[in-house]
This record gives sequence, structure tokens and C-alpha cells, in this order.
Amino acid sequence: MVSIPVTVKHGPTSHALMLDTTQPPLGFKGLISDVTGVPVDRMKVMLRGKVVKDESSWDEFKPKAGQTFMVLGSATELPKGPSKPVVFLEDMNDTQLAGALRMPVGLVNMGNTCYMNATLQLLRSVPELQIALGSYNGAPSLTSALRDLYKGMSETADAVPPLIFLTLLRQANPQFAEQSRSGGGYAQQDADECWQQIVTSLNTLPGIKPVPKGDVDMDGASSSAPTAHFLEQYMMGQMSKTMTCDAAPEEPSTHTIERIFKLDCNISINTNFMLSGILDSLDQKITKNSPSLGREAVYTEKSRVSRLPEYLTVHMVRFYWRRDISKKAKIMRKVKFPFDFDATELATPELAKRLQPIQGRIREIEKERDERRKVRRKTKDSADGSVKKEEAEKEHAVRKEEKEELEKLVDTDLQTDIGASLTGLYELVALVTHKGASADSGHYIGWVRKDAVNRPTNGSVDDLEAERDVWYKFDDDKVSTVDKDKITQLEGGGEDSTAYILLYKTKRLD
Amino acid sequence: MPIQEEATVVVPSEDPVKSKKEEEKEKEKLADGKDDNKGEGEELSEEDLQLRNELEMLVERLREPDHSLYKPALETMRGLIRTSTSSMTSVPKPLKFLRPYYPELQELYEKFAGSVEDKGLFADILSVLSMTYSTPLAGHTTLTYRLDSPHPSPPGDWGHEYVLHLASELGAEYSARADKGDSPSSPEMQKLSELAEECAKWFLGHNAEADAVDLLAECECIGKLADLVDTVNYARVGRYMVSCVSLLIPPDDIAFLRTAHDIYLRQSRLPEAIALAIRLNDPTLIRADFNTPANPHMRQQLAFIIARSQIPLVWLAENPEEAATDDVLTSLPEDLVSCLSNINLSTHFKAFGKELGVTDPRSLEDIYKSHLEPSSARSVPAQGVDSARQNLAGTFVNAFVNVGFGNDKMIAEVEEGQSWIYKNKDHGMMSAAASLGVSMLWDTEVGLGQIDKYTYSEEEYIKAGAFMAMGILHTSVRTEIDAPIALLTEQIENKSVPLRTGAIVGLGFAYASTHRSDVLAILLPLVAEETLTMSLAALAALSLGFVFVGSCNGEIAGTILQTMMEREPTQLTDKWSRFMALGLALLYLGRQEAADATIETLRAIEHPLAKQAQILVDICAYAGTSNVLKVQQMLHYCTDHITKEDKKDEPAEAPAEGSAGQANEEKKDDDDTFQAFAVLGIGLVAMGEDVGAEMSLRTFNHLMHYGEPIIRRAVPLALGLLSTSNPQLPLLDILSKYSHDSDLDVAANSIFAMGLIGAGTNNARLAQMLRQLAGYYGKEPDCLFVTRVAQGLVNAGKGTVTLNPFFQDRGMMSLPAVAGILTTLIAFIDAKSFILDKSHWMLYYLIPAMYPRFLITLDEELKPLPITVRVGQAVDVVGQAGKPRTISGFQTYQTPVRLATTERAELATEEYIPFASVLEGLVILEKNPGWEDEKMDI
Repeated sequence: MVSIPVTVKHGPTSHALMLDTTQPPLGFKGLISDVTGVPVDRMKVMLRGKVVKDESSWDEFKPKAGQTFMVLGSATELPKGPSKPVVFLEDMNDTQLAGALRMPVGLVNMGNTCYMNATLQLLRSVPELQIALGSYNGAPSLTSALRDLYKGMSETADAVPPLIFLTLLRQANPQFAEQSRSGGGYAQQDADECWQQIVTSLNTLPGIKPVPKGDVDMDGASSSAPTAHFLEQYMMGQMSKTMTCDAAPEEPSTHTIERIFKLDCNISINTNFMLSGILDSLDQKITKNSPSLGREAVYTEKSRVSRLPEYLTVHMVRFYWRRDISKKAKIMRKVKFPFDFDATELATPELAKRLQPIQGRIREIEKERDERRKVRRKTKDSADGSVKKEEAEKEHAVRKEEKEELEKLVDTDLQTDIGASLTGLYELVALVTHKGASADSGHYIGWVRKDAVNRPTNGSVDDLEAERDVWYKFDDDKVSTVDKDKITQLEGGGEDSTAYILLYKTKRLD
Repeated sequence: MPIQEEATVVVPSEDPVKSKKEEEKEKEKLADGKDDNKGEGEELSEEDLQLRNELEMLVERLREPDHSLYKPALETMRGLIRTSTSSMTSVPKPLKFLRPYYPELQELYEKFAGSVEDKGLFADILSVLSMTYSTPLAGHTTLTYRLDSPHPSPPGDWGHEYVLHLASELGAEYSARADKGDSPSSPEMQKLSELAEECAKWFLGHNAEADAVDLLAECECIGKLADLVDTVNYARVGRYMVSCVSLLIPPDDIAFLRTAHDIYLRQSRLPEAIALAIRLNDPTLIRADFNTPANPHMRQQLAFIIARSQIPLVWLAENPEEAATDDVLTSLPEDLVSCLSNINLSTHFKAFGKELGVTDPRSLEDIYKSHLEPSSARSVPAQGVDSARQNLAGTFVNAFVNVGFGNDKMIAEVEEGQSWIYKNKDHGMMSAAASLGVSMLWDTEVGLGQIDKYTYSEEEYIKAGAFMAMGILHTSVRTEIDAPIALLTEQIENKSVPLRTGAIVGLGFAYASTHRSDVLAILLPLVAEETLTMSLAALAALSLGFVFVGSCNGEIAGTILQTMMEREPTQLTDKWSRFMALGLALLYLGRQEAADATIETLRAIEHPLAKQAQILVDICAYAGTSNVLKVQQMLHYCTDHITKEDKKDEPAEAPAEGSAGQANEEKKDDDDTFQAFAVLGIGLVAMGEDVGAEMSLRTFNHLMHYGEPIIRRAVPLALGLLSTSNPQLPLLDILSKYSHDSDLDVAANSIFAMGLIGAGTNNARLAQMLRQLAGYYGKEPDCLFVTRVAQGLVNAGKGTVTLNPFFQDRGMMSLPAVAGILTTLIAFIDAKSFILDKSHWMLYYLIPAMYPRFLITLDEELKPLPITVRVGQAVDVVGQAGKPRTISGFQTYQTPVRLATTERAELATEEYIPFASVLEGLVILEKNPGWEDEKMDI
């Protein structure tokens, strides 16, 4: 026996070879290597349940003519692992996790403090406040506590107990330390009051300095000028009030200018929409002593907004004091609130006029963007994703142009007013809801639009738009995401959570 | 089965007192003479009156001493009775008129002085008459008179009702005598069984196959049936017998199966016969059946059935004891070998996938469809960060979904360095590498080469996974090269625990149900070696359990038992020890009382493990038998409440002992594991039969309400076992409820069970439920992991595979499949220590149960032959008259076609005749010689 014809199978292909049993197996492997290209050292040869080893002798196998050998091994390089190790979520510490997950954290309920937690989450969705707080280094106060709290929240993935802030808040405003009448800890409070107190306490917070434009201002001439407080910049509106006497039209009307931090939305039996509720609160009849008539007379007070801040807070006046039961009762009425809110109807005619050119253009642009998006959605991506990439770039370019165009339309006065709304158009970014029968009971929940908390850094334009349809629900320490549809269900009219405080953010130019 | 009997018992049970009164009245009337009769005659028609008078006259004659008149009188009487054509609902007229004379006739009979023949005739008539008269108290008079008659006329001559009556008395009499201790060979008993045979024959000839089977079963001579059936009624007899099996107590069930096998064999229905032979687990029968047919295609068809059932091929050898390996195959023709060894399974499966248009690999997102998930779940995928847990889930989903196609985009076909394997952490890599074997499943040629690359990896876990993959790859496929044993043997001796684990488990997969003695030689020393860590020893025992599933192999059983006795008790308390018990149990899978000796031995072992093992062996032995007694026994185990106080007592007594006390507590904790096994046992025993399965649902409901946590944890798993790959709505609702249980372990197990009952079905409703759960458990990594796995299972094989261990029209149970599912479920009982810990690769134990759910029709060259078939819900046609439709709500398809668990197919044309009895899997067709193409006429 010298040479036996055998078949060698390497994967699905077979080769016919002559096996010389006088040679050691290594020689046969060499032959196989020639036909298959598998290096000998990475080759495994098998015959009927046994591996042919280099040192084994053919007697063990008793090969017969026509038998099939199986060869294992690849002619090509062995698969390699990725060059850098994969880091897993499970291996990260809290801070890394917070960065990686980008999931905002909740606040622990310290005993009926959901009103505060919800309010804090609402305020946290104002990025400018974060910046302003970041540069604040005043004496320990509620402001600094707020700064530390927000900082702590951004560095962990676990719910944060707002202990220090709560203590300071109660020190500053003892009404929040009220004990529950039924005993057993602190009482529930009104989120609106909490909001007011926090905002009031922020009145010393310095504002954000204007970004120097061009080289001229580099010497710091303008930056050295005293900047307004943060609240005045971003959250304060100005209301111009005109009071006319109904009984004596000839009496000259009085004009006053007032600072406001929120718009109230009065809910009456006729209120179905937020805007009508606000307008209702702006036009009021009051009785006062008329100098011209010399008696009590009815005056019509007509207020209009002369400055719109970037962040507009709307307060649904759902609670009122019922004397008969000496309790704050709740108006359950369903009041629709818009996701996109046009505040020009509330503005003074002068302001409305200034906003008019840019508003028209913005509406046009939005329509165009919608159409472009529809087209993009229909186009199919090529295998390597180049088509999508190209489109994304195209979109970016178009948007840049649009932004430039819009900037030209901005009213010059408004441009210098930091924190004022340039467009008069708003979108809903956060809200606090209340569930339950009265202000001092029930449960408050904060809701914040996803992109308001997590500034998305990358991703295509469409992805960013999609982010806007996702909302975070801050139910104390439980944070979850919900759909935009869920937010529309918060208009009231039932036992479920009902919108109470709404935070609108002005539309930017881009 | 006993319905007929009941009915016949009811008929004669008239109020005896009342009937006697009536009788006396009639007697009085008789004494009054004919005048009185006239008065009554107004109610009777003239004809009836004449008949009555005639009968009276005949009775009168019997009273007279003239012997010569007896014979004509009796014959006339017989003639009158036989010719009486009355409606079925009322008693025939002659019987009615003779009824008053019955006691008198009885007396006359006692004193009868006529010839023996005449007396026989008289006995015959009395036998018929007693049908109207016999009461439970009076004894089985019909039977007694019949037996008295020396030359009785054939029972059928007296009509259907008489035979039924006789049969019921026969059965009752036989069992009464058997209870008294009469030996079956005694002449009386012989006589009874002969009569039974005669009746059975008559039944068979008159479309009452069920009655025939019942009667013979009652008279313990079911074996005789094989001689009685013919080509016309064999199918109905066979069907009825097979459907009875699950309701019979041993040894009747075996006798039934054997007789049914005999019947099929005599009618040359070999596919049915070999299926029963396999069910009987009888190598001799299987070999004989396999070697019977002369037609090579029929042999190929039988080979396909054998390949599907995964019986050891050594059984086909002349001397199974001597043939160690698959050497037997060399003596067979090559085409048969390829059928037997399932080599072409991969080719067929891929062709099937192509035909259905599901070849393209699916990505994880295709399965999760997270855009449809409730949005709260969307928070989880963070951009750019990998969660090891989620990636691991992805590994399994990818493996299950793209099983067998070998083209998935994450493991099998990826660019350099992009392999998903590296997206897993440490032990996760093992599962990921092993998933390559799942992805390439059955494709031994290409798969081995792919896997081999990873055996050179520097990562120990990847290497271990690769070895496991080699084993998984060869699940239910045998090759001539026999690569697994060649490649894995040397790894058994390796020092690294993961590598050894991979090799041991791999061998278990590759040689499941082969009874290969060379594998035994490799693995058994590991079981016996006392210094080996428990995990490896237990896995070796488990692998042996797979290889020798249902073999009752004494050597292995002995070794495992010895290990249980000799190992340190603390070692036996190890979490892995249960798999050693399972390995032992698998040896007795489906072998019923063959396990009794082992159970007795286990009773002698004190360690709590022995109790677990005892239950495991017990439930495995009766798996799929729907044995009610076993279910009751298991329920009994579950009633024990091992209360917390008991557990606390122990360490309180010995607080100073320190570590020993702790160990004690652990031991106590483990103590109730056996209850979980008992719960699984209920499912395992009941799963073979629909009624039993339905009954057990209520049992589980009770257990869920009142059971201990360990029991509640096992209930969903048992539900999953009951209805694998068969998502019935009520079950879905139950599991959906449990999946929101406050005990997260219960919830996770329920979710897995949902995956199990929907495995490979693409069930949209289930998919929606799971998406909901993915949202609900977005923050619970364990539950989310299981949800993902369940989603993968539901889409397993993109809807082309099934996990249901029953096949061949749900008549046969695949042992390795049951073993695989059971192993996975047992790992889930303590999910936190296994599946959710580092041993997630145990999920791959589902692979032995995975099989394509296709129907592929082949021509005689074994090439696919597309023809039209009808597929519809299977209808139970047992015991129905005529030729009922076997499917309902069918649709017509072109083969290849997929079949759901409860579906059945039938050929839509008569152009071909299938060799197989059940259209399932691979079916060879032959051209119908009588077929004429209709188009030719046009």
C-alpha cells in the first residue's frame, strides 16, 4: 500500500488527493495545504471521529480508498477583535452613567414635596438658568442651593434627595413647613406658590452677559456695563396697562407699566382654550374712586404685553378659595393648551408690529421644512447610507441660509434686549400637572420635553425633530418617557393629571 | 370507551318491584282466560293479538310433556323473534308478549326434558328473552343461557341490541371473575374470551370498531384483534386504539400499542407501524419494520421518520449491543444513510426559507420594533453606549431568529473586527460564540469551518463558546466525519473550566439520543471523579442524560447514584447538583415503570438532592403519558408548606456553629426546590394529551393562588411546557396576567413561557404583548432581558421552526426535544443562579427541540416536488363514522408549506400518493398510476 485515492473536504468544496501512507501525516497535510491554502499549523484533519495529529501514525486510522477527510481551518486571516475594548453600561460608575444614558434623574419625595419636585424639574428645563446658576457664586442662599442641587442632579443616575434646598426653602418661606392637618408630616402645598417663591428668590441672580459681537466689543466696553438680572432677561415680561373709566369716557386713561413673571389663565364657565383664559385675565373691570366723577366708578383695565421674555410661564388658575367650605377648590374644567403658542394677540400693537415681519417668514419656512421632511422620508437610503448623509448636509445648508435670512428680519430693538423673545412664537417645553381635588392634596408631576433637558448633540435633523415628540415624566424619583399624545391628554376635564403650570419657550431663529 | 357499557346497563334497570307487580297482573289476566283477553284486545291490533295468541300457544306447548312438539315450537318461537321488525326504540313485539312468561319459561328450562339440541335452542331463546328481563340482581342471565347452549347460533343473528347487551355482560362477568382470581387460562375464562372474540368480529363487521376494541380490552385479549381486522376497518380500529392509549393504565397501553402496531404491519402501513414501534421504544420492532419494505422509497420515507424522531441509529444494527458507534450506517445504501442521518436537513431548510421569502437575515430592530413599543421603553437604548445585558439579549435574539440560515449580520457574516461576539462581556462572549453554532445549525460543512476560526481566539470564553457551537451545530444531524467527538474529546481534559464546560455541553448536544458508547467512555469518568467541581460533573451527567435519553442505561444510572451517595453533602448542595439529578432522570424519559428501581434507590439517600432526583426521575419516566395518578402524586408534593419558621429554627438551634449554620440554612432553602420540579412534572406528564392539559390549567390556577413562592415561580414554566409553540389564547391571557406579577421571578418566568408557547409562530398578538412588556420592564434589566429573549423565540427561525416536541400528527414525542426544553425550564426555576447569571448559554438547550415546521414533498429522486396541498386545523376524527374530513377551515398552498402545531395537511390532488401516513416534514410522493390528467380531455 503506497498511495490511496482519498477525498478531502474543506467546507463545501472537495478535492481528490493521493494519500501516501508511508509518509507521516505532516506530509499529507502539506499536500492539503497546497490545494486548500490553509496553513499547516492552523489545520485540523479528521477522519471518522478522530483528529489526524502530526505525530500519529496512519495505522490508527486504517485509511481506505475513497474515504473522505475533513479539513478545518481558514485560508484567510483569523477574525480579530475590535481594536479598542467595548465599554459597557454595567461597568460604568454613576457619573459616567449619567453622561451616557442622558436620562435625567428624578427627585426623591421628602414627604409631600412633589409640588416642589415638579416645579424644580420645570425650572430645570431652562438652560439659560443653568448657565446663570453655574456662574453664580454669591452667599449661601436658596439660589446657591438650587445651583448645587441642579449640579448634583447632572452627575448621577440615581434619584436625588433635595434635602438642603428643601430646608432652605422652608426657612425662607415658613408656609411650606406647614404640618398636615391630619397629622403625619408636612402638608401638601400649591405648586404655583412654590414656583413664585423660587422665582422671587432668584431675583438676585445675575443675568447672562451678552455675547460680544465682532472685534469692536472685544475690549469689554459693553460687557463691563451692568447686566440685568437673569429674571429680568429671560422670564420677565412687561405689561402695559390702560385704565379707562366706563362711566366717564372723557376722563383721560391712565397708563402704567408693570413687570410680570407669569400670565394667569382665568378659567370661567366659557373658557375652552388657554388663550381666551389669558385674554380674560388681561381685560378686567375694577371699581375705584374716579377723580373726575368724585365717586366710585367702574373702570376697564386693559393690559397688553409690551415685552415678551424667552420663557413664558402660564399659570392655569384652577384653584380658588371657597368660603363655604374654607378650602381651596379646584376647577376641573378642560382647557385646551397649544403646543405652539402665538403670543402676539397678547402683545401691545407696537410690539405686534415689530414682530410681524419675522413671524410671517417663520411660518413660511416651517411649511417648507415640513414638505422637505416628507420628501426625505420617502427617499430610500442606499446601502452605505450615503444618500441620507448627503440629504442631511443639504438640509443643514438650507437651514443656515434660512437662519441668516431671519436674522435680518429681527427688529433692531429686540436684538439688543437679551432674553426677549424675538419672534413672539412659543412652543411648550415643560409643564406641571396636578391630580386630585384640591391644591393642598393630590399629586404634582413634572413633564419636560426631551430636548429641553438633554440638549441633543448629534444626530440628523429629522432625529432631532423626532426628539421633540418625546417627553419626560418626572413623577418624583420615577422618571419615564411618554409620547406627545400623553401630554395632550393633560388638558383636564377628568380625575387624571391636569395641566397647572405651563412653560413656553420662544421659537429660535434656527 | 365505556359509554356503550353504561348505556346497556341503563336499559334493564327498570324498577324490579314494579315489573313484578305488572307480571302478576298479567298472570292474573292469563288465569282469567280468553274472555279477559278480549277485553284487552281493544288496545291491540288484530295482528298483534294473533301474534300473542300464537306465542301463548307455543309456550303452552312447551308446558306439555310431548317432547316431539318442543322442537317445532322453539323453532317457531325463534323465527317469530328474529323476523319481528320493530322500530329501534321499542321492544320487539314477540319479546314484549313473551315477557310475562319468562319466569315460567325459566322453570320449564330447568326441568326441560327434551333433547340436548332442543335444550340449546331453548337456552338461546331464553338468552334473548332475558335481555328484557335481566336485572342487576338477577345476574348476567343473557350470558349464562348463552353459555349453556351447546351450539349457540351466531350472536349477530339476534340483532345489534342483543350483541351489545351480551358484550356488556361479558365484560362485567370477565372482570368479576378476574377479580375473584380466576386465571385467564381456565376453561370458563377461555370460553368467555372466545365469545368476546366472536362478538368483536361481529362488531368489526358492522362499523362498531370502538365496541370491538372495548370488549376485547375488557376481556384482556386485545391481541386477538390483529387477526380480526381487515383492510376496510383497520384504519378506524388503529386510530381508536392509539387515541385510547393515553387513557389506559399500564400494561394495557403497551398492549394496545403493540396490537395497533401489529394491525398496521399486517396491512403494510409501515409509516404508522414504525411510528408506533418508535413510541414503544422497541429496537427490535423498529429494526424489523425498517427492514420490511422492498420498495426503496418506502424505506427512505421510514428513514425520514426515524431521523425526525432521533432514535439511536445503533438500533438498526443487527446486534445493537455490539455496535458501538454509527457503524451500522456503513452497511446501508448511501441514499438511506443520508436520509437517516439528516444530512440534507440544512439544504431543505434553507430552500424552504427561500420559498417563503425569509432568507434575508433579520436585525434586532426588526424583531423588537421598538418604534411600536410604548415610548417609556425607548429610554433604554442610549446612544453610543453598549449595555452588556442588552447586547447579550441581542445575541440570543439574533441566534434564535436567524437559526439555521447561516447568514445573520451580527455573528456569521460580519466584517473583520465587527463581530458581535466582542460586544459581549466575558461570559457573554461564550454565549455569543456559541450562537454561531445556532446560526449555522445543521449546516455541518460550512459551519465547522466558520466556527473553527474562533477556536484560535485568545479569549478563553470565545474558545469555549466555539466548542459549544461545534456541538450545537451537529444537533439532530449525524455525519460520517463525526467531527464533534474528534474535536471536543481533547478539550475535556483541558484545565480551563469554561473550555471543559463548552466541550462537555457540546458533546451532549451533538450526540443527543444516539446512545453512543464512545461518548459514554469520555464523559462517565467525569461524573465519577469526586474531585471535580460540581458544575462540570453535573454537566457531564446532564450530557450523558442527553446522549442516553430514555435508554435506562444502568451503568450511567449507577455511577450517578454512587456519586450522590459518596460526594460530600455540601457539594451536593451546590446549585449545579440538580442537573446531575436531571441527567439521571433523562435516562428514564418516557420509560414509565422502568424507573421504579432507581426511585427506590433514591429513597435510601438522605440528602435533599435525592428527593429532587426522585421527583425528576418520576416525572421524566411518565412524561407525556398524561397519567392521572402521577399528576395527583405531584400535586401532593406541592401541598407541603415548608414554612419560614421551619427554616429559621435550624440556625437558631446552632448559632455558634457559624459557617456550618449558614450552610445548614442554605440547605434548608434548597429544600423546597423539589416542589418546583413537581409543578413542572404536572405539565410534563399532562402535556401529551389535550384533555389532561386543559385540566391541569385549573390545577395551576390553584397553585398560583395558594402556592409557595417557589411553586408560583414554576407554574408559568409548566404552562409553557404544556403548549410549546402553540399560542392558545386562554393560555396567553393567563401568562400575560402572570407577567405583571409582583414577584419579579414569576414575571420573568411568565415572559419566558410566553416566548415558549409562541416559539417560531410569529404570533402578532404575542409580539404586541411582549413589546408592551418591554416597555413596562424598561427599568428592570432581568425582566427586559427575558422579554427580549422571548421576542427572539416568538420569531425563531423567522417563523419557520417549532419547539413542540410532538410530531407525526402530535402522535410521537421527540425525547431529545423534551429533554432540551425541560433542561431549560429547570435552569429557569432558579433563573437568578443560571440564566440571569453567568450560565445564560443554557438557553441553547432549546436547540435540540428546534425543528423546521415544514412540509416538503419530494419525488422519487428525493428532489423537491411542488404540488398543491390543503392546510387546515386538525380535526379529531377518532370514532367518527364514514370518511370525515380531517381538517377544517383549510387553505390551499403549493408545497413547501409551513404547518403550525395544530394544523394538518392533505394532498389537494390525487395525482400523487404519499408514502408517509402523515403529511409532515419530508414526504416522498409517488405518481398515482390511476391518475389521468384532466387537461388531456380538453
